[in-house]
Amino acid sequence: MKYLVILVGVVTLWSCQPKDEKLKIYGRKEVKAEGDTIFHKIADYKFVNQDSAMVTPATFEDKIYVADFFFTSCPTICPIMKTQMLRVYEKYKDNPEVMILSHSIDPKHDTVAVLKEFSERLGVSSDKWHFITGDKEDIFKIGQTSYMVTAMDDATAPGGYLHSGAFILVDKERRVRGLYDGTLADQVDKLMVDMDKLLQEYEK
Amino acid sequence: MKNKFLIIAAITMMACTGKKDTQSASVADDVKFEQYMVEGQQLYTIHCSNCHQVNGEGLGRLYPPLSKSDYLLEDIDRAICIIKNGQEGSIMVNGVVFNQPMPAVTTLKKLEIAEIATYIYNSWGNEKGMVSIDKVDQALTDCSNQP
Repeated sequence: MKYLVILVGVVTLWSCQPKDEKLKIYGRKEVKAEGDTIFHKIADYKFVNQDSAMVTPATFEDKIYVADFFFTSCPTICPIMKTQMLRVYEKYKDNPEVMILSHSIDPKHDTVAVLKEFSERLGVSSDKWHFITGDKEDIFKIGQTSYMVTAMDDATAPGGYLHSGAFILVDKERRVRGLYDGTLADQVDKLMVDMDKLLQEYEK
Repeated sequence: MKNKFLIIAAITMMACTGKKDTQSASVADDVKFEQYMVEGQQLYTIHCSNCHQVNGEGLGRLYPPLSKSDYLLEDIDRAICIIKNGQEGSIMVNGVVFNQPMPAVTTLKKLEIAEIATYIYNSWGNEKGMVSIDKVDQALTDCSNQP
């Protein structure tokens, strides 16, 4: 009898959880006079990837993507971020709606050739996972203002750069839909659950 | 129970090396070995596993494996120096060229290096036995003498 009560309690609690809950949309909202809501969007950008190809928002048209910030000679958190991002890559490598965008915050050292070798050594395909370089200030700026993460010079940090280990999930409308610690396996588990949820939003 | 087996196995192996140590000394050594393995694993997690991975298999062609790595197994002194001083330039590990710099961890004490070395030399299929502080001391003296 007692167990029955517990069981009913558990079932009730379960049913209280909203089903098909959509992922939050991050950032400041703006409501226009006409009543439309304008969400925070990733700003325009133009970078170069490991194949010397131009990468712009058009590259990610009709795709969701995961972004991060790293540098190839980073001695601290980047290797573990790449290990974790590789899990995302492996899971979605055959899904044409998913891409990955890794920004180098050390573009002076991380030239196209360095990024090319890095991606090849990691064993990933460049039409799925873009490693980009470009103007350092542009990369720092888009990190801070569009992706809401820390990316800056810091002589006191190991490797000379201070940057967050965040993975940022971006939807097809260039809106941020999730922020995760890319150094922790369970956070990346959550990211992949959220990616599945986000992909469902586009199923018609 | 499993530990007991390990101890017995270790004693048997020690006996095979033809050492004249008494049995009680072997048991003391074995306890020390276990301590080094436990401490070594913790230090490995902090300082090494980001790149070389928890399972010692490395990452792609970026970070070389430690597990059954010919480069690691053929020279313990060299590995001790690399743990302390880092390394740059390309190396060949199990037939694959790696060329990512490894940072020095200058803060590591000799005991800690011995613990890390003992852990990596006795995990994931590696079986080189304990790396003592004396061994580390000697290796570090030699590598700092190099030009």
